[in-house]
Amino acid sequence: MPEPRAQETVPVLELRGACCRGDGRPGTSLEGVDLRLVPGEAALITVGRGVNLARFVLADLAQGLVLASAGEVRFRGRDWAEADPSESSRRRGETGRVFAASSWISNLNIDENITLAARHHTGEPPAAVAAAAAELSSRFDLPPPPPVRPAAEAAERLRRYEWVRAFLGRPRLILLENPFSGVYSEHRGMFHSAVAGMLGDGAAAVWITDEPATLPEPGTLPSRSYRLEGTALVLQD
Amino acid sequence: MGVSAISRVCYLRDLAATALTVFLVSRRRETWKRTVRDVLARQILFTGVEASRFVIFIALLIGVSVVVQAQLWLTRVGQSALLGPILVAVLIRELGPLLVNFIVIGRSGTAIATELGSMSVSGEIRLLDSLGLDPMIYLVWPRVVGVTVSVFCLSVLFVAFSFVSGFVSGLFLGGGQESPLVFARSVFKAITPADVTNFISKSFFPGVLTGTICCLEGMSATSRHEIPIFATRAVVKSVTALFLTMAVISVLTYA
Repeated sequence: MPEPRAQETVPVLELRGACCRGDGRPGTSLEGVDLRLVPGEAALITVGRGVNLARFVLADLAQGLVLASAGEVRFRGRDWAEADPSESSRRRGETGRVFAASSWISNLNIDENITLAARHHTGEPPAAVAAAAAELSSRFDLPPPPPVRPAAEAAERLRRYEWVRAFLGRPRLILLENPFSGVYSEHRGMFHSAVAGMLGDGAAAVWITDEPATLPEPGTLPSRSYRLEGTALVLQD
Repeated sequence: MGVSAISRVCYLRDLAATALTVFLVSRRRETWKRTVRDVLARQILFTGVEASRFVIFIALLIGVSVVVQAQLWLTRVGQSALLGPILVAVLIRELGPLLVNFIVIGRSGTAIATELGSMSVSGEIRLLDSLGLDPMIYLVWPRVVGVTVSVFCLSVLFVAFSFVSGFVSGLFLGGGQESPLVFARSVFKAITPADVTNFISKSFFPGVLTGTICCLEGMSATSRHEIPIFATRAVVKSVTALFLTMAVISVLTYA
């Protein structure tokens, strides 16, 4: 079992009046977004059906892949705009993400894909990283990540291996974009439990979906709900 | 016309900036992480090791061709002892680095541009960024360094094997030295410090440019149908850069 993390008081993610100018398509522009997540908290964000989640810019802002045109986006107290490329990359290694559209490095095997970030950012022995990946896989009812190309794996399993990739290495921030897309409903419970476990371990989560029915039941996670209305993020009661 | 000139200047600026960044980040410890070393090793395996048999085959044939020509002319003027120096002038100064660079551009340059183009179009570069792997460090750096190291090593291999085949074919043709030691001595005696500088420069700079151009062109693709266009562009630009660099280095070294 990994050591419990020391209690942190700095917010994991903090957006203060963050704006982003997009290309005019729904979800690519945001204005005046305020969002603050301390360790153990989750934000559940629902977007309308007209928004293509693959283009919704909030997760990119949270990871510093897109810089805010106005306002601030801070990850663990540090504004992405102030970090140099090297520091930004290192800090992104403390996040995990399930993309809206399945995304894999096609010329690496699934096991290499899953352990890539952990092998890059930590000095842990490859066997220890592989063992952690196998353990996480078993929690999602999967065998250890296989040494085959992603194209050779069934789409439903591949999606669950994306969960493993996002959760491996105890990330501080988890970004989930329609994580149940293409996954059988019987696997949702184990995913909810895993998210709850990560929050209990001091991580924060942003869960974005256009299918509100897939979100955890109210009260099961320490969370706040938001809704994207136009370019604004509106807090729900 | 103005727009075209500006875009060319911008391209040259990006090319120089990328090549310089590759050089600068090489000195940083974090560039040499195990994941990046893996990519570098794979690149050297593909560009250098897997191409070595073909390069040796070409070198053996070139050695024979050069010797046949040299023998013909040197025998006519009664200077067959000059075979070693002639081989040095032709193979070390020009032909070795030129042919090896050609082989690497044709074999690996297109592969790099196509691979990175495909990664760019399918969102894999964005994925790497999201995982905290800087594409400059994880994709561009090992490819440029791998191509450069491979070009240098293959050039050494090319020269060595072309000399061996030159010596052996000289023996068969009856005009070369009979002792390999005498032949080797005549070759080494003909090599000047300028030749060494010239050889290293012609292996190093075109290698850096080929790697950088192919990475930049590949990553410029935004849709699947653009990938072959950018791959072709990468080859054309690499060959142009190769000839320009060879000419400049020759002028700077020997003029």
